[in-house]
Amino acid sequence: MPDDFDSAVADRFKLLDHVRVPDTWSRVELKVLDNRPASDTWSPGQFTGEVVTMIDVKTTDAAEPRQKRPMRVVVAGILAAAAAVVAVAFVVIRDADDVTPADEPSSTATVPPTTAPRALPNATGKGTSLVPGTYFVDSVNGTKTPRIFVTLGTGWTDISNAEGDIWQDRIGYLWFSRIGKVFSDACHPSDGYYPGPVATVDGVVAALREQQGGWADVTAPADISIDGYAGKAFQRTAPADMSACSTRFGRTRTSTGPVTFPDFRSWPQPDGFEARPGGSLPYEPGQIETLWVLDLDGTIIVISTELWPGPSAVAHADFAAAELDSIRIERR
Amino acid sequence: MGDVSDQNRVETVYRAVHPRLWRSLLSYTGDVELASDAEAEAFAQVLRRGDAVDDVAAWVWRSAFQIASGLLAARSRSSDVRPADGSTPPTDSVAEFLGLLAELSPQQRACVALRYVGEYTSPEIGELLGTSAGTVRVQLHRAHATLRHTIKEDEHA
Repeated sequence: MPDDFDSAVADRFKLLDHVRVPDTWSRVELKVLDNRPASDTWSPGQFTGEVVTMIDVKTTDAAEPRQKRPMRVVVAGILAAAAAVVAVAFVVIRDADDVTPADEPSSTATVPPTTAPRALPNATGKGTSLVPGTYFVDSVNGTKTPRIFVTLGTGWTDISNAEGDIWQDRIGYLWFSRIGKVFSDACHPSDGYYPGPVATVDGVVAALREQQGGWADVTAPADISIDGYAGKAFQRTAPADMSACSTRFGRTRTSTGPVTFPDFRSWPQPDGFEARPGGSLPYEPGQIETLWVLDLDGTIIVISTELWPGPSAVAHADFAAAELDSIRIERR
Repeated sequence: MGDVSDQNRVETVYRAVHPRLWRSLLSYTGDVELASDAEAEAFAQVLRRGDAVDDVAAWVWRSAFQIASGLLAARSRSSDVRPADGSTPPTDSVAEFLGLLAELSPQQRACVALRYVGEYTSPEIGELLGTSAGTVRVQLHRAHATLRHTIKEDEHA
């Protein structure tokens, strides 16, 4: 039996009960989306020879019979589906005059909403394809907001976290967030935070536009109004070369195993955790983001579309247009 | 449809074990990012194996610790890496405690993580780590000896 010291140690471990546990299921899904054959995966068996005795679990796991059939990724075909979206101009910003009334489908939406808007996270389960139609979120990083609607065509996957504020396909993703602090230097996020206030639209815009780190391009902010909610919109392009940035170790969206990669990040949310879900989606060189900073009855939110480098410009345009041109916000 | 049921089965296990498993891995690795990645990799691998894995929870616990061990080894070989913000525990007291655990050997750390966070018994830990219950008890005893020393130092600091 454990000695008397056991309870003292157990008490110390209770500290961990207060550590917020991130929902890592979206990271699981990202790994599965890679859909690599098991023999090519970065498997436990790969480390067998390096693991100390106690951890050197028998290789029965690695040698376990190959799955009877590989898990079929539910969201297969995303790229093809995304390419099928009606091509429209890339929408960087939009003002009130361009906003379609909430009860009318967007002209750029491939499928008009024929059923009632559905909440995210998607009831059918994360990691699954979203049925074309209109969806909404009504909280952002734990804070209630007016309902934010977006109408999606085909090719979208729900990878919502607990707050239901993100989903993506293979060319980028849409993300609703709030800003707790802004790193003063995105290329070296450990160096500290932007010193000014970030509790207003102007404060957030200033912090993000003045952020160091070698952003390749930052456009001038434009006034926008979405269903009466005022804000600013602008675009940033991550540097093509991040070789001078701090690094971190782990998996990236595209890596097949843990690697050292540039630690280029922009902001943590108010809960203090990684700006990206599970911390698994750092900026990639050349990534383009369109930011809408909006004041929703005193709650400052950021709606961002993040476009990964790689896919064709047409796919990018489709992606952004399908998202941004359909967003509407409930009036309260 | 079997694929969907497999996914549901695995996600059900994930929801049930996630907090304990993740915190156990945090205790073991001392690193939020590595804990998250080891856990996610274990679940991704079990998903790829479909219904070939009967006891998903046991498979994931075992694999996650082995993956975490490999990650720690890989990181130790990567000399140009420094912990990023995302790898920093949320509070100073937790960081301090994880620092104490870092004084333990990896074997001892795995045992205490599974014992105090995973809430497993020595025989169960032995089963998960592929060793005997007696060996686990020895490792726990040694861990206590080390922690007794470091915790006293910590309290007098």
